[in-house]
Amino acid sequence: MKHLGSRNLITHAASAGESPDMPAAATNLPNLLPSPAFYFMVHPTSWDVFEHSDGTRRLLPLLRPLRFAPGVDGVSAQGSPHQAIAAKERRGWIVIRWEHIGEVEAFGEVLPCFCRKYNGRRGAAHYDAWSRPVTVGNQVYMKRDGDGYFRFLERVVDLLGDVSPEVLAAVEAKFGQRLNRNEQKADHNPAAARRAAKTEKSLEAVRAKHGAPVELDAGESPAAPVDLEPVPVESPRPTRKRARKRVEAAVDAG
Amino acid sequence: MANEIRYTGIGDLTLAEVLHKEALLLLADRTSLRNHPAIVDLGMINAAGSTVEQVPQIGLDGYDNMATLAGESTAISNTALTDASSTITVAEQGLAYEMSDVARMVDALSVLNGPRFAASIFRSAMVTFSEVIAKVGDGFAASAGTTTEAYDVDVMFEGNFALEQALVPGPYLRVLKPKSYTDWVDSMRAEGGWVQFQAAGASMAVLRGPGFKGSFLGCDFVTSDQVQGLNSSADWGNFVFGRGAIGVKEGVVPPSRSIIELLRAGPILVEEERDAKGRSVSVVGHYPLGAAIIEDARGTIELGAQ
Repeated sequence: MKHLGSRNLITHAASAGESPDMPAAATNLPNLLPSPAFYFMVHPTSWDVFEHSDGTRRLLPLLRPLRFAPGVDGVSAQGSPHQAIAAKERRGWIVIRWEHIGEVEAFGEVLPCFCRKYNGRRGAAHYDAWSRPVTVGNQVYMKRDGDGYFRFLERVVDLLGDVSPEVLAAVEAKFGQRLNRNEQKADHNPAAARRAAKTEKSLEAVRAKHGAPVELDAGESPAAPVDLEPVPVESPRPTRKRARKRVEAAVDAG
Repeated sequence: MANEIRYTGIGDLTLAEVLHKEALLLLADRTSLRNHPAIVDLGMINAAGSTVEQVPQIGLDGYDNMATLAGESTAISNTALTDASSTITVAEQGLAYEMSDVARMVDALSVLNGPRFAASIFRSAMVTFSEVIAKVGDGFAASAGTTTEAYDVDVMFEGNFALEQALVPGPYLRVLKPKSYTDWVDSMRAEGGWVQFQAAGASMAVLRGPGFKGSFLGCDFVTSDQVQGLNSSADWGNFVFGRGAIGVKEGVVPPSRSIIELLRAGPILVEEERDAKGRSVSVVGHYPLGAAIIEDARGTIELGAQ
């Protein structure tokens, strides 16, 4: 034990002090699964039909998060995504950083960034701006602003450009096949009938869309095919006898 | 009759409540995807010189067809060798519990001890493996299903067709959120036909661990709560892939005389640390792990409504 000496006799001016920390058990943090912050990624071939609450259907990019989770897809042990971004971009992904988009609108509010952080009982959890955790009792539910996310995807299209005609044709074929599969079963399977009806509407939205024109490479003219005329047969090699006669003839001719 | 001995009258001899002598596990996702043959084991990072490794891929063994030669004197031109690579980074995953001496002293359940926590940390490492795979797996460019639609047999076939059309070799592994799995089972009720789901029997469930649901058309079905949300929490990012799509790399913490090892199972190390001044014991688990998509074309995500 330490001897405290005379320092304890010094008096201090009275202050109001601070409010104590809430006891641990009383903090009302939601029981969220911890998750890292993220950017979004877009692949030029990955699109889907999204529906607005007013009934509008539109072909929009299917985003994936690039999570800053150490050890995941090239993210460094310190959580730096730079190497992961380079690797993804090499494979055709376009990474949307926070600063590319800036402010976003969600749940009627303007927020500075599309990635939002929430403190949970087990650590920080990150969600996009259009998903909000709501605690009811000890359960966590997600509240979603689907229309806000729809508008955000439209902004992404404005920023990066629309779907190409080739991808549009592939998406149309995919929805067409889905429609065929479900129509075949629609008369005896109510779920398939419902899917077929929804797919048909999505297909109409895809067909109504015109892909952004892209500059097509006309290629080069190929080289002319190999000449098919018969190859001339070479005369047989002169024998010694014939060669001698030819020499004698040449001498006679002078 | 008088002076009967009743429970209500012996308050000094009984307690209001006592602990049951066995603790039951709380509900949690305990699915492990480790050792599934669809995941490529890229070995250990030890002595590699970096925590980051480039995994090379090469277009050989049938990648290039032979060219037809137009004439007998036509020279055979050289074919460019196709190569690609992906980057995998190993990061340390850790978990620590600290127990005070007093807590261990009064522990009536015999759970506050190093070996019990070492076993628990091992299971946590297995779940962490599944979490890392789930975070990688929803990054495939190809997609099946459509947003806000429940996962069903049709989506599953769309995913299978994508892999078959891309000539992806097996074995296949499908990782589903439990909600998507039950949606799929529900849709199976309305399907009739020639295909049969081979549900995991009791012995198979023991062998393959929790989460393994069975096989269907040669593809293993596993449910995991680690599957992540997509499209602003409208969908689950389920995924299916064949061997060669996802690779993992691990590391081993090198042995040291100062480590009190409670458990060492391959790359997983659990050690004990005593803080004499703080009068506590810590049990600390280490698991160096990294995972990455090796070849994007070998997998597809399968959307299922949340």
